[in-house]
Amino acid sequence: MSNAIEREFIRCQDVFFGYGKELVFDSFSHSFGQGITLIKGYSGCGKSTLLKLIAGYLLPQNGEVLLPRPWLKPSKKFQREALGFVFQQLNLLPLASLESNLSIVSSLAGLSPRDARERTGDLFGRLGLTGFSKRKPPDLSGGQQQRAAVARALVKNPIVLLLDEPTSGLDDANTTIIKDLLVSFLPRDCICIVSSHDHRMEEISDEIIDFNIRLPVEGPLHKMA
Amino acid sequence: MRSLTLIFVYLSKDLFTRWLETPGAVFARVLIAISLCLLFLFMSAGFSLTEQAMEKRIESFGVNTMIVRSVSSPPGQSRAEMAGLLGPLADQGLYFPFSMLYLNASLGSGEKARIVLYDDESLPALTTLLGSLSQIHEPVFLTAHGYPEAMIERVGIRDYFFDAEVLTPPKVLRFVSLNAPVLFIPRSMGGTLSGYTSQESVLFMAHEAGDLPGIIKASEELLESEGFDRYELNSPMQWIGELDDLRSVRIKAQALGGGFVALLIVLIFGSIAVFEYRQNIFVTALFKSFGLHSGHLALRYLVDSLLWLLLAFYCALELAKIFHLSLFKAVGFDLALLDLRAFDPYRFAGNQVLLFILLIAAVVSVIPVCLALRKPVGKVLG
Repeated sequence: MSNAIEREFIRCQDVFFGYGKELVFDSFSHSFGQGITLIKGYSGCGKSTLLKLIAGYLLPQNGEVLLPRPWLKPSKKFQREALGFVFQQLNLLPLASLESNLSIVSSLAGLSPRDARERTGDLFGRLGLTGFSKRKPPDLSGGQQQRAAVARALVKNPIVLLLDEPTSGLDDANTTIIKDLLVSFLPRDCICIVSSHDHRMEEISDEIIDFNIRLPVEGPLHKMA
Repeated sequence: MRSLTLIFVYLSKDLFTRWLETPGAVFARVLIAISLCLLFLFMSAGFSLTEQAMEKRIESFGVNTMIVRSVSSPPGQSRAEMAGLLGPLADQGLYFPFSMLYLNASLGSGEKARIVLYDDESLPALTTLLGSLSQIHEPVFLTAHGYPEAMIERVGIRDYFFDAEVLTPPKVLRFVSLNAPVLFIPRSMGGTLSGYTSQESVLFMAHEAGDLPGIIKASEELLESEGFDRYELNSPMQWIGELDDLRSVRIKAQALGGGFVALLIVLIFGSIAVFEYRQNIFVTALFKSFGLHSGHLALRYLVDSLLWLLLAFYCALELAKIFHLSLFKAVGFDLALLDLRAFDPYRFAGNQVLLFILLIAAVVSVIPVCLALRKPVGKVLG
């Protein structure tokens, strides 16, 4: 079954997940392709949970998440080498400078120090953080921290990039910087899934899934609501 | 490797920051660990010193020695004399029967001396026991520890005063008299003293120490069969048994004390580790989200505990050395035993059991954090 997954897809198959008695996904199935997929939806509809299930930060109670080869399933190695994730809230290590934050992630991914330096410099330049590389997160504004979090997620050149409300609370200028970066810097074969209720992100999306309307379901007809 | 170095540097920084932010938690852990280590060290040292004192007593008394004492038979009751009953022992070693009066003599120094009446037949044994008896000019003499040899001491018994020459007592006699001076008087010269209530006693030193257990058993049976229902038989053989008992008690006490120390350390260090983990839970989860194994993160807490426990262990060893003399002197141990140059119960090598207990406690105290680290990243980070 796993071998049949095409390289460029992440496939959720009959995923079942809930927090205690609160059911979030009941037999959810969907394939995410290369490019940017935007997941929209009301608060609590399961956008962040879906990203965490794909990342392997949560385990489905039933069903499975299949990743592109060679990963096939979420694992520590996948998280180290191929996954970039931006959380809604805390994203940066508070006692490390921005540069060190990126160094730790890039070294865990196996990047050489030279490559890591080059990519860090490039990302900081594009995100307007060049002068802040030695600063620690508590000394930065919310927008700067959020941009640094995106840089941290991108520094390892991820195959899968998951962004959970990356522009939440950001002004237009900061949002534009992040949008431009995603458009220009993201590798063509990267599968990027953005969870957001920010309409400004729709412009750069290749696919939009609106959980407000109906979850796209792949499965038996009788299970359709 | 580079990634681990960077993570190690970050976690060290995190640890150091935590210490600076919550010095109370650090001091509490160290002080409690030092106190517990000190308790354990003093308990072990107490046992060791007691054993040493007992060994010394056995050594000074002689492992082949036995002393039997009984109150002399009340008037009107006929009972064989102990000296006669145990007389055949003279063939198997030094046999010295005597009577110790329930009456003290007073010395010129103000000290009290026990009074021993001995028979003329006991002279050879007494000579062997005291060595320098042949140099004594009078049959009445005094043995007193700490007095100059051959000194003439004024002695008084009730209203009668006389001079007695001083001899240095052998260790076995010091033990029999509990270090008090003893006035030796031949029974033939005792006069009315023979009428006083006395303790019939026999000191016996076997030629072969191996024969003593059999001799003790036979003596006990003989005395009981002859109606000696209130007699006291002491021998280092019994002390050796007591020494073995003491050693087994020490092992049990160390196991129990060690368990107590370990339990308290696990509870205190474990609680503080969990508390700190909860404060740091987002950073820990962030590391996990990068793909770092929980084991690496648990190491931070293990290093934290180990560091403070090893420091506490070292401090406890040093503090124990400082308080050793005053503590055990107050308890009543002989000063000669308390010289740390002769016997140091606080050497690092001699306390590996405590170190092992601390290491185990450090590992166990991290288990709650290890369990907490299993919580999925997705349930911690928003």
